[in-house]
Amino acid sequence: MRLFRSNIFLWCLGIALAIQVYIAFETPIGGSFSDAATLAMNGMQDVTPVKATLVSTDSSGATFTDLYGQPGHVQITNRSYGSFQSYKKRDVLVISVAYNLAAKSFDLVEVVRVNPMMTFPMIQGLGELGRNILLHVPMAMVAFIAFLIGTIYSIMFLIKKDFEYDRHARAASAAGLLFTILATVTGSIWARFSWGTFWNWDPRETSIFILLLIYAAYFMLRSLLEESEDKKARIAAVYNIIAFVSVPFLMFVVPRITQSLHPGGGGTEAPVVNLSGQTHTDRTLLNMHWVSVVLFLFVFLWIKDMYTRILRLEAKRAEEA
Amino acid sequence: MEFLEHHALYVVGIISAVIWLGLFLFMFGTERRIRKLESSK
Repeated sequence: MRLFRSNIFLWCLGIALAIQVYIAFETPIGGSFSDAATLAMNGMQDVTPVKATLVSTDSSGATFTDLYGQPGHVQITNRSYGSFQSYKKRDVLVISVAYNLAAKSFDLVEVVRVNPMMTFPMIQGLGELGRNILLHVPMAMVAFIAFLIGTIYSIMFLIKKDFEYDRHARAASAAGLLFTILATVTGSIWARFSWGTFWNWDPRETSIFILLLIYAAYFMLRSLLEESEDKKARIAAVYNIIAFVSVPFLMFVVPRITQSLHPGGGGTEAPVVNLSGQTHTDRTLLNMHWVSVVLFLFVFLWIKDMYTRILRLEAKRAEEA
Repeated sequence: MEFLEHHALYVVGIISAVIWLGLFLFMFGTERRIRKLESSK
């Protein structure tokens, strides 16, 4: 692809990725007053960030409306850092509050951000870990697209018998395998802090493990076959097509029909890809997630392009020898 | 340990930024080597 021969494009991609990582870690998380109360009552979280609009200030604190329009009064106590005096009416604040179970009121812990450009939602049970949605989910999605592209090239190779398609198929599957490994690693670290262990044999974890084995076998098959280059490529192409048949089943069907720790398991509605065609995810988080998907897709295409060129160089060298 | 507990998000952010930068520089280096090989052919 000519796009990846341009240094300017590659630098732009690098800078865009750096900005995306910065946004993923820097954007404040802000929930509602009801999130703060529920999390405190369940003993899950003492202090919760709340995104709220300042309505009025008084001697004991200030009154806010949260992102759902629910009113709430936040008190200044001796454990509060700062006050509300310097803020104007209608300022949007992200404030860390502690729910006082006895008084059923909110105590200010600190003001996190004033009029933030954007905020991510407070996903109950995830907290700050929810940011990983911008890394883990796009990586898994790009892995699926990579395997799909690899399969299309394998079909093209079987039809046209052009080795260039075989090189593209091999490169796309290799990059797909890399993104599957990255999705597994980021998911595993996430699982350690959300569910307690690195690996739970959850249906989605089990299916990604099977997927890793299937595609690892594709590369083992290629390297172990002692046939001619043409026969080797044809066998690998057929295997690649058969391997992809299992991908939608393992990635979309199995985790949805079985009980799962992941969202959307056991017949519950999945946040994005579901049968009702509705999205149950915060719009800002979803938009930033699609930005991540596009950026990772470009990284995938770059890796695929480089590997295809390496394979082309190897083929040329073999021809010359 | 207290520093890590209070600044965990920034520590993770810096680690991931360094990993990204390292990966990107590695890929840039590979790209440059491939271009060199392609032009020598």
